[in-house]
Amino acid sequence: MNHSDFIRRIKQLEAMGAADDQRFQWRIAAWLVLGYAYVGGFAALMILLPSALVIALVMSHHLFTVFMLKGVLFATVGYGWALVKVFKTSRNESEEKRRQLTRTDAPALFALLDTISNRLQAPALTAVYINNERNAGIRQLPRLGFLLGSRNELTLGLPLMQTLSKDQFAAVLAHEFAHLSGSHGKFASRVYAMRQVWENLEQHLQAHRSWANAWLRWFLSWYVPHFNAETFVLGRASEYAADRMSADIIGNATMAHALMASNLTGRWLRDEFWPKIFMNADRHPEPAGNPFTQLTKLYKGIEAHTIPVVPHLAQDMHSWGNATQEASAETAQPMEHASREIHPWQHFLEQPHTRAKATIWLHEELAVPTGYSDTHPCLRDRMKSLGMDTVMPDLPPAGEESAAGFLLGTMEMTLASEMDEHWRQEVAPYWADKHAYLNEGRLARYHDLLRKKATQAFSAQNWFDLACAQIELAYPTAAYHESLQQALTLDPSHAPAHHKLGRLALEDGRLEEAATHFEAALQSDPDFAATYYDLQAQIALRQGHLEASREHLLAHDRFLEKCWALQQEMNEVDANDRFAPHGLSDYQIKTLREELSSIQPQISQAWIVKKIPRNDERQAYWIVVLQPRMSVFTRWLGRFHYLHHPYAVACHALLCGISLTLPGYYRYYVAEHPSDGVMRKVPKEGMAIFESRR
Amino acid sequence: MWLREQRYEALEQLFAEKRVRWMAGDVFCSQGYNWACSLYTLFDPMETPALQDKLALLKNWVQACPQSYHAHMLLGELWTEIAGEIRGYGWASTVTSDRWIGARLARDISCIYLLKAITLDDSPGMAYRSLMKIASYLHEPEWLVDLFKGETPLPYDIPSDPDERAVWDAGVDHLRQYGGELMSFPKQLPAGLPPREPHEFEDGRLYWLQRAMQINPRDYGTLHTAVYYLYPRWFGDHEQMAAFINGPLCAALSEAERGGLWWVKEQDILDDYPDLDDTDDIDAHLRLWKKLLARPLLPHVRFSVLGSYAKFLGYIGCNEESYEQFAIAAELGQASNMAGTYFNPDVLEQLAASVIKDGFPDTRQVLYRLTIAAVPRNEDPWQLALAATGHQFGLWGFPRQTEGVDALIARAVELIKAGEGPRYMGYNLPELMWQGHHLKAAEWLANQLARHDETESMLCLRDIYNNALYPHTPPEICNQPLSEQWLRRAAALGLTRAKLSLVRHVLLADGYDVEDRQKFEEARQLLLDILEAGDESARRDLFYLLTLSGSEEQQTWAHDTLVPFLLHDEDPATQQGLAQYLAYIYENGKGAPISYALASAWAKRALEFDENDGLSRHIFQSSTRFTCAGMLSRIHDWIGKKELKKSLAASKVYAPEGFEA
Repeated sequence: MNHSDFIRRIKQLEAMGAADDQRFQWRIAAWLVLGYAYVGGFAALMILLPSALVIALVMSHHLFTVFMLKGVLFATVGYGWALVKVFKTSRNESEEKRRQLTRTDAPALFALLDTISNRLQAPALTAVYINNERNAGIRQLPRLGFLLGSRNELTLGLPLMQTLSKDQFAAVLAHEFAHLSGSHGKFASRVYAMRQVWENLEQHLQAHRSWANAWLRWFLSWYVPHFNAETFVLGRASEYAADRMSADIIGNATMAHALMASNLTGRWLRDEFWPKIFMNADRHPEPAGNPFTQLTKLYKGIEAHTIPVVPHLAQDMHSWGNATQEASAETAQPMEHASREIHPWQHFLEQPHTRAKATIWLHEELAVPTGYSDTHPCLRDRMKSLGMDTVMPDLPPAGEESAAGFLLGTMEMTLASEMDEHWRQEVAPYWADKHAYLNEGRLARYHDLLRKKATQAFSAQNWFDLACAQIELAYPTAAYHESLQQALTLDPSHAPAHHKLGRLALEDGRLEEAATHFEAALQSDPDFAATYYDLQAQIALRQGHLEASREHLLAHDRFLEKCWALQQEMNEVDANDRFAPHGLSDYQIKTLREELSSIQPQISQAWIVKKIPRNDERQAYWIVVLQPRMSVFTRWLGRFHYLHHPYAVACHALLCGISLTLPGYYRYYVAEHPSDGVMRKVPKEGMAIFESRR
Repeated sequence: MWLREQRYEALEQLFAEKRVRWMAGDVFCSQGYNWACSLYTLFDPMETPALQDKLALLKNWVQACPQSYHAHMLLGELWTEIAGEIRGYGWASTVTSDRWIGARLARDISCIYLLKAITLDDSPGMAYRSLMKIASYLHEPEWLVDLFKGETPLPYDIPSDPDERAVWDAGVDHLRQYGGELMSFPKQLPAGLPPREPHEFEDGRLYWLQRAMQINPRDYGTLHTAVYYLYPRWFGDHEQMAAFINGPLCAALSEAERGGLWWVKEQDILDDYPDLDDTDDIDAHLRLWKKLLARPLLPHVRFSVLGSYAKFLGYIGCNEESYEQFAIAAELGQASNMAGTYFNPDVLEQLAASVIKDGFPDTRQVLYRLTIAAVPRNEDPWQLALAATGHQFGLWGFPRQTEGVDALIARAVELIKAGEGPRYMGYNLPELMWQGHHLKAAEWLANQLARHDETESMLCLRDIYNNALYPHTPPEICNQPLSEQWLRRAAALGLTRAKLSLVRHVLLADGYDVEDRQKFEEARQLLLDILEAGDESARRDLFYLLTLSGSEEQQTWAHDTLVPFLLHDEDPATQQGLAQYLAYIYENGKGAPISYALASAWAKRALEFDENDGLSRHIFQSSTRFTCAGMLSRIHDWIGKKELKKSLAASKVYAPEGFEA
C-alpha cells in the first residue's frame, strides 16, 4: 500500500461514514484478531508445542530423547518467549529520555490529574513522566492484549507546561484522559491504543532488525499501514470526541484557548525562542544559555532577555568588524542587534506589534487544512467542532502564571536545570558546526561578495546578497539599507530587496513605507503572496484597521489553500492525474536511456511523461514511470507479503543513485503491477525509454 | 636576436617606444607592447632555444642591466614557464609530489624576480599581470602572503623525515635541472605597494589584477588573461566571466573591444563540439555563434570567430554554409588588411578537406585567399606547404608559378623540424591531396618534404609506393623497393613509427621466428632503440622475437626483464600474446625452467581470450590428458613442486591470477 492508496482508502471510509457505522467495528475487530492471531499464535506455538512434546515424551518414558533434544526445545521456547517480550520492549527513543514524577515531586499536578481522572471516570495512571518536548500524551500498553487491562503512562512536556496557563494545560490533560476513559466508545479507545502499539512495535523491530524477527517485520510492514488506513477514521473520531469531553468539563472557551495557545506557543518557540537561542552560536563556541530555565522566567518575564556575550568573543567581534568594514557606508562598528532579544511569551501577546504577529500566526495555523499524516484534525476543524469562531478569533489570554509554575512549584526549576544540562550535551556538536559556519562561513561569503564587487558587474541579486551578509555580520542598518537600495536602483522590481526593506520599515514602525515595499514585492513575484497578505494584515492590525486585516487574512487563506492543494498534487502520482507527452528530443531520450542503463536489467519497461497539475499548469514536471522486471509468481507473492514489492523497493534504491539530465523537476514512479492505475493511464505511444523485450 | 647579440639598449628602446603607445591606450595595435613583452616574441621561434638557454640569455641581461625592469620581469615570466614545465600539463591529480615541489620552488623564484621588477619601474603593469597569472595558476607563495600580513617570511621548511626529504630533494633536482637554486625570500614588499584589504587575502589574483588595471585601465592583455582564468577549469564559471566582462574593470573598453573578451568566454563552450546526434546541443551552439557574431567585434576578432564558426558548420555537415562563412572571413581579412587576420591550420583544415578532398567547388577562391594571407607570416608550415603545392601545380585557385616554391618548401620543413604546425602534417597534408585524387601533387609534396629529410612525409611515400592509401596507387607509380627505401630512410633518421613499421612490416613480416641472424639482429636493435626512445609498444615485439629467435641468454633476459612490464600492460592483445608465449616458454623451457603446470595455466588463460587458439589448446590438453606424456609431465611437476613454489615466491617465474602450485 503506497501513500496514495492509503489516502484513497481513508477518503473511501470517510465517504462511507465508517466512523459511525456499527458494522464497520466488526471489520476492525477482524483486523485486530488477525494481528493478534499472527503474532500471538506463533508465539504460543513456539512455547506450547515443545512443552507438549516434552510432556508426551516424559509420559511415554522417552527421557533419553528429551535429553537429546533439550537444546532444540529450549531454543524454540526461548524464541517464543522473546516474541512475547517484544511487546514489552517496544519503547521509542523519546521515552528513554523522560523522567518519572511522583506525587511528592508535584502534589498540585497529581491533584489536578486526580480531579480530571475522576470527572472523566478514566482509569488510574500507572506512571507520570516529564520530558523536554512540547507535547503531552497518554500511552496505553496492553497487558496480554487488554485481557489483563493496560498500563497507562502519561508523558508531559515541560516546554508545554511552561508556555500554557494552568487552565489551558488542564484542557490538554482532559483531552488526553478522554482518550483513556473510553466514554466515547470503549472500542474506539482500544483501537486508538492499538494503533500506537502496532506502530511502536513496527518501529522497534525496524530499529532492531535481525533474521529472527524478519517474519514479524514482513508481516507488520504489510499489516500496520493497512490497519492504520482502516482505523484512521476511528482515530479521528476519537480526537473529536476527546475534544468534546474535555470541553464538557473545562468549558468550550477554555478548550478553544488551549488549542490556540498550544499552536501559538509552538510557533513562538519555533520562530522566536529557539532561533534566538541558536543565534548566540556566533559568539559562543559551546552551547550558551539555559533555554528551559529561561522559559521558566520568560512566561512572566518583566524584561526582554538576552544572553550576555563572552568577553573575549566580544573583543573578536570588535576587531573583526574593524577588519571587514568598508570605507564608505560601513565605517561604524558592528553593534548589538536588537533582534537578539527574546520577548516573554506574555509580552508577546500584549505588545501591539508582537500581538499583531501572533494574530497572523493564529490565522496561519487556522489556515492549515486537515491532513492524513496524523489522526488529529486541523485547528480550524477542532475549533469549529467546539462551535468557536475560526475566521478571526481573539488571541487566547496568557494567564497570570504558567502551568509549570503552578503545578510543579519549585520542581520546575530542578527539572529545567536537568533538561538544560541534557540539552547542552545533546546539541553541542550541532552548535559547534553552527559556530564555525557563522564565524568562518559568513565572513568568507561576505569577502566573496566584496571580491566580486571589485571586478564584476554587481547585479541586484549581488547587492541583495551583500545586504544579507551585512545583516548576518551585524553591520549597522545604514550599511545594509544602502545595499538594498542599490539592488533596487539596478532592478526596481527586485522582490526580495523590497521585501527586506519592507521588513526593516515594519520593524521601525514605518508602516506606510513597509506596505509600499510589500506591494512592490508582490507585484514582481507572486510567490511572495503568502508573506504579503500576512504582513499587510499585520500592518492593518497595527493601524487598527480590523476589517482590512481580516480581508488580507482571508486572501492569505485562499492563497495557502491553493498552495496546499498544489503541493499535495505535486507530491503524488495518481491515476487521476493529467499526463501529457514529454516533449523531449530523441537525443534527450537517448541520454535518459544511457543514464538508466545501469538498472535496465531490473526494469522491464520505462516511459516518461509530463504531469500537468490541475492547480497550476505552469508547474508541470516529468514522471519517469518504471515497471520492475518480475515474474507472475513473484508479483503475486509480493502482493501478499510486503508493503511494497521487494523488486520495486530494490528499484527505488537503485534509482536513488541515478541523477537524470532533464531540464526541470522530475520524479520516479515505480509501478508494481501491470494493472496499476498510473500505468494504464500513462500515454505510451512514443513515450518509451525502454520498450518491453518480450 | 637582439638578446642573443646582447643589444640590450636597443631592446629597452623598443620596449620604451611600444610602452608609450600602450600607456596612451592603444592596446590593440599589432606588434605592440603586449606582443613585445612576450617570451614568444623575445626568442625567435626558429632558434627554439631550450628553456635553459633562454634562462642563460635572460640572466645575462639581468647581470648586464641590474636596473632593467623588463629584464627582471621577463626573467620572472620565464621562471613561471619553467614552473609549468616542471609541473607538467596533465591533470593536477596526476602530478607527482616532487613535481609540485619543483614547480612551487620555480614559482617562488619567479615571484622574487617579479617583485624586484616592481621596484625598478613606476608602471610595472606587466609584472603585476604576471603575478596575477601566478596567483591564478600556481597560487601565491605563503611567504608573499606573509609579507602582506606584515610578518617575516620563514625560510623553506626542509623535511627531516627521510621519505619526505627524498621527495623534497627530487623537487629541488627538478629546479636544478633548469639551473635554478633555492633563493632567500625578500624581507619586505616593494615600497609603494598598497596594503591588502582583508577580502583580498583569500584570492591574490584580485589584488594584482587591480594593481595592473590601475597602471593602464585599458590593459586588454591583462583583462584577457583574467577572463581566461575564470574558466571553469580554473574554478571559475561562465556566469562570473560574463559578470567580469560587464564589470567595472572592463568599463574602459568599447563594446567592440570587449567583444574579444566575449570570444574568450564563449570559446570554452563553443570549442566543445556536441555529438552529431545531439540536435539540441547543436542548436544551442548555433544560437551562441549567432549571438556572438551579432555583437560588435573588432575586425580581427570577427575574422577569428567566423573561421571557428565555419569550422563548426563543416563539422555538422553544413558545407555550403561553412564555405560561405569562410568566404565572408576572407573578404573581411582583405578589407581590414590587418595583421592577425589569418587562420591556424586547425581552422583551415576544414576548408581544405572540403575543397581538396571532397572537391567542393571553391568558386570564390577562398582557400587560396585565406592560405596566402597566412604565408607572409612565414610561421606555419601547413600553409606554406599547401601554398607551394598549389603554386607548383596551379591547383585550388593558386596561380601556377614555380618561382619561390622551393623556398616555401624549405621554410616549411624548417618549421616542421622546429615543432611548428599540426602534428603529422608531413603525412597528413599529402594524404589529403591523395584522397582528393591530386595524386601527382601529393606525391610531389611528399617527395619535396622527404628530400629535406622530413620523416613523416617519408612514411607517406612509403604508403603511396606501397599502394596503402585510397585511392589505389596506379601501377606505374607503385614501387615496393622505393617504399621500403623511404621507410628505411625515415627509420634511419630516428622516426620511431618508421622503426616500428620497419620491424613489423618488413623485417618480421613473416613472423617472429627468424632464421636470418642479420635480420634478427637488425630487428632486435631497432626494437631496443624504440624502447629506449620511450615507446612501450616495442616491448611486446621484442619479447616475442627474443623468445622465438633469441639465444638462450636472450630468452632468459626477455623472460626476466620484459615479462614483469608486460604483465602490467592492460592491452588485451598484449595479455593474450603474453599468455600464449608464457605457455610456450614454460612448456619448452625457453628462458625459464620447464613447468607443465604453469604452461597449462597460461594456456588456459590464453584460451579465455581465444578459444580457437590451437597452440594453447594443445599445451593445455597435453599436460592434463591421461596419456603417457601427460602422466610424465605431472610427475615432472610433482618432483619440481618445491622448486616451483620457491621460484614463484621469488618472482623468478610468473603465474596467472588464481594459480596454485
